[in-house]
Amino acid sequence: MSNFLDLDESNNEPAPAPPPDLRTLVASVPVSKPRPYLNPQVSDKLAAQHGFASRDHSDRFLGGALPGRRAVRGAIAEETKQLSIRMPLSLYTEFLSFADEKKLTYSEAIKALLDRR
Amino acid sequence: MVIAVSNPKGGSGKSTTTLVLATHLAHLGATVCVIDADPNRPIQDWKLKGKSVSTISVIADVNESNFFDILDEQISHFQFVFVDLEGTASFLVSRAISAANLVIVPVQASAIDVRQASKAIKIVQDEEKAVRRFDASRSIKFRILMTRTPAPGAPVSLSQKELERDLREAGIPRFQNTLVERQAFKAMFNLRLTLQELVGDRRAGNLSAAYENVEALALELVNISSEELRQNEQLSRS
Repeated sequence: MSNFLDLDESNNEPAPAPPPDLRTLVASVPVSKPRPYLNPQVSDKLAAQHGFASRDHSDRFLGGALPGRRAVRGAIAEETKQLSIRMPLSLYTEFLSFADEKKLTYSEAIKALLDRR
Repeated sequence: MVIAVSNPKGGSGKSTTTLVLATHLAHLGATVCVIDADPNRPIQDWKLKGKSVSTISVIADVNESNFFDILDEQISHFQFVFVDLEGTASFLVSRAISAANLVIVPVQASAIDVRQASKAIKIVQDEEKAVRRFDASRSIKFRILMTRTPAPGAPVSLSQKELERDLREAGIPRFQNTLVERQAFKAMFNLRLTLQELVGDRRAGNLSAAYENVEALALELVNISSEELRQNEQLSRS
């Protein structure tokens, strides 16, 4: 007998009525109680110890900017080219922190660094 | 009862578990809300794009910032509030766990699923300790639910037997029934209908067996809820 393709010849029987005791049991379940207050930061701190992290997807739903970085607004007037580079992890982390701190896009962050020369 | 369905491992059967149990409880007359906290919004998709007349209420557009507000708005209107969580180790997941009465951890019989499930269990235990500092009567129960298992009578894989043995030896609470790999459950998503609405559709496979499966799981769930209520009543009397 296949585990996954469990076709049945006769599939026109109406749904069997559940045993009366389960309906009665379900009816006896009260409405949910308000939850006790727990500071979200307490919950987050505990979770972080287990490797959980913030992955707020609000930008996906609401189209907002990622926290810490300014959204790109409008098209760039100049022609653009793609630059893909591999770099040491420490430099990668440092560059991203710089961009986040200044709320710059990556290309703006590169320009800011070049302007310092 | 707030039920978080969580496993940081994607594809373990969280949304299927949620949809199957939520719609079946609603069919039995319960008031049910599903907070669809999965960015793919499978339950909202099911509700909005399908023709099901199921009475379940579905709320989406949930993130870690608004989760508690959304839950607090819904909680006292429904007997069962399911939170279908994403398959990542995020604060949204941990916040939902902290607010739950029961955490269902769907697990397939694979080493990766079990490892990730262990993460969810540890979080549950820690969050329960934190919540008890605010309310000593509060508990966050959890149950492993084995998913995508073979139909009764079909050969059981070695991985599943080992998983069952490991759970038993570790004393980890689990649903005695499993969520069997059923064409009917896939058909629920594909056709966006409840099991009851699939009657007469050959694409649903063995519906009777699927009903029995869900019925048994729903009974276990309702018994867990009744047990929680009894414990709370005993605590409030003492």
